[in-house]
Amino acid sequence: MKMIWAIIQYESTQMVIDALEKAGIHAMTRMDVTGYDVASGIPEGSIGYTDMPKSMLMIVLADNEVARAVKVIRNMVKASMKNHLVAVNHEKSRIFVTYVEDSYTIRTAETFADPESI
Amino acid sequence: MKKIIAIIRDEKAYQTKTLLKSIGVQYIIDSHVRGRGKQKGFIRVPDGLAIFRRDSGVHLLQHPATESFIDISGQQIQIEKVSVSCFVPKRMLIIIAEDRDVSPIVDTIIRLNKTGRPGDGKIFICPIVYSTDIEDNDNVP
Repeated sequence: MKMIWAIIQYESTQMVIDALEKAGIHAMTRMDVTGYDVASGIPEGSIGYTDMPKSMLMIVLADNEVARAVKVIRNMVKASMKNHLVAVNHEKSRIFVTYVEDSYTIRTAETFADPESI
Repeated sequence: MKKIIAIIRDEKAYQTKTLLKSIGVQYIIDSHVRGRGKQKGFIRVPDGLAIFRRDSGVHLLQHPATESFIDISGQQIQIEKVSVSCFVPKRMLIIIAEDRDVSPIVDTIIRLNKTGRPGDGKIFICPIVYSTDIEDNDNVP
């Protein structure tokens, strides 16, 4: 079982979510965050705007579905770049994948050691 | 050490935090998130005739016979298909705990938050490699 943290541009969030739905991945958590990447925000003369609005998606998947989900997110973020302002394209998106040892569903109080049945 | 990520109902967060404090959990990160699970964010109301959608304050009732929507103010809206892209406001608690403390914390969260209806939430347990207080000066391994 793996946990995907995808930090993507705010503008492409809905497109990424729609693409994940088409791929059959519905369960996710989203949160609004701010931050900047290697481009250090938008430089504007001597000052820079470093609090760029971003969305963070948290998705927990079985091991064999992680590669597919990462591919879907990456393709859709790249495709949505064309519609963005030039300034937004300075900021890169990031995907992190971490381990999940155990997962519980509160409604049934069941634990899922079997990664196939998240 | 383990990181416990619990995604629970918004209205149960205060009770949960109070109870966790009473069993000795001192540090909790609490953030407002939106999420959905296998039910795709739809909540069935008890009469079974309508689907109640909660997404950023928009409440829609669906009547299966007409396939149209009536919003709260009574106006009828025609929508081609039901969008599954809706997220329910949730609360995410992040707790860093020692290995032996994980099981009682998980039990406490489940005991308080279990209602038996969809939307109760999930708990994920992830490994933590290293943690330190920022004011300490020890070296990273």
